[in-house]
Amino acid sequence: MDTNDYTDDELKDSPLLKNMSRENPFKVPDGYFESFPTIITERITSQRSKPAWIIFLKNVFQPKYVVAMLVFAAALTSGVVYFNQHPAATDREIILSYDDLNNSNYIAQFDESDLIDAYLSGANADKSNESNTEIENYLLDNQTDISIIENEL
Amino acid sequence: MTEYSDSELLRQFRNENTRNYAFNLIVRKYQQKLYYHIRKIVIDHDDAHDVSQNTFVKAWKGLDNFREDSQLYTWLYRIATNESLTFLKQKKTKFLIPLGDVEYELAANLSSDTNFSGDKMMMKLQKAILTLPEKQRIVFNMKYFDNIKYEEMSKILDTSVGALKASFHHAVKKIEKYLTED
Repeated sequence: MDTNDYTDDELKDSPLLKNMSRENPFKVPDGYFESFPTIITERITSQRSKPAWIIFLKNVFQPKYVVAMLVFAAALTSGVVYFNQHPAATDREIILSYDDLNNSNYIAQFDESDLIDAYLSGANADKSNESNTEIENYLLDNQTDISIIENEL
Repeated sequence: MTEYSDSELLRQFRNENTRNYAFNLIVRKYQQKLYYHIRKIVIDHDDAHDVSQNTFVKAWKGLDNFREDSQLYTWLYRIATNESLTFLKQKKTKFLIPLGDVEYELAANLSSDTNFSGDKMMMKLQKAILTLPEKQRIVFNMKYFDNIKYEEMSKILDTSVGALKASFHHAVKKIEKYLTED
């Protein structure tokens, strides 16, 4: 590293700083730098001797993540408890009253003709079966010739 | 002890048989420079000790991927600077210290630091330096105390030479003002 003293040029407008001692004022305990390399070697060795999964868990479960994990776990637990107590409604359980339908905004989106068709097909299904049986009985009772009906049609 | 060149140390580091020995030599070669660089940023000795350890552990992990496009000390200084800034950021969040108050706390630590040997004027200068924004503080220290060239500083801090010169100039003005105010 270059240690040529050229900072003085930068300090020509600041005589106070230019004339001050630039000695390092920070000290360390005695023997600090003699023991420091050993500390580093020990740290590296201890990290290398740990299985990868321990290092992974240690990295994941850092104190800074603990709060986030607890919040997530609490949210998950309350979600599970809530949905167990309030199971989702199935189609069969959806019962709408007349007032519900009447007040619903969706009712306006239906085509009236579809509603009429749906009603008639449902309502007439039983009726038509009923009336067909009556007609058949009438034709059998009166021994009507089917060819006459065919001619009429 | 023979002081090897950086390229020789790196060559030995890449050899599995001499890897640990080479890294130990790298630590011995750069520990003081890096420690004092870190110390000027975090002020407290214990904090500087922790950050220095983290710096070398990171260097150990990353040295395999280090390509000699840059110089080793530039790369180490960069790790040390980043680790120091990360440490200060964590300190702010951990102790819920308002952003501007960390420097206030560092100045308070300085006053009670038994490992500080400067006279009254040096103490005042250090407190003046602590009023600077973090990056400006680092630039000032690197230039004023370590006399690092702007070109080298530029590689370490990933900032243009022009911006560094301006930063130093502003820092000098602010410090001069602080020192002459009372």
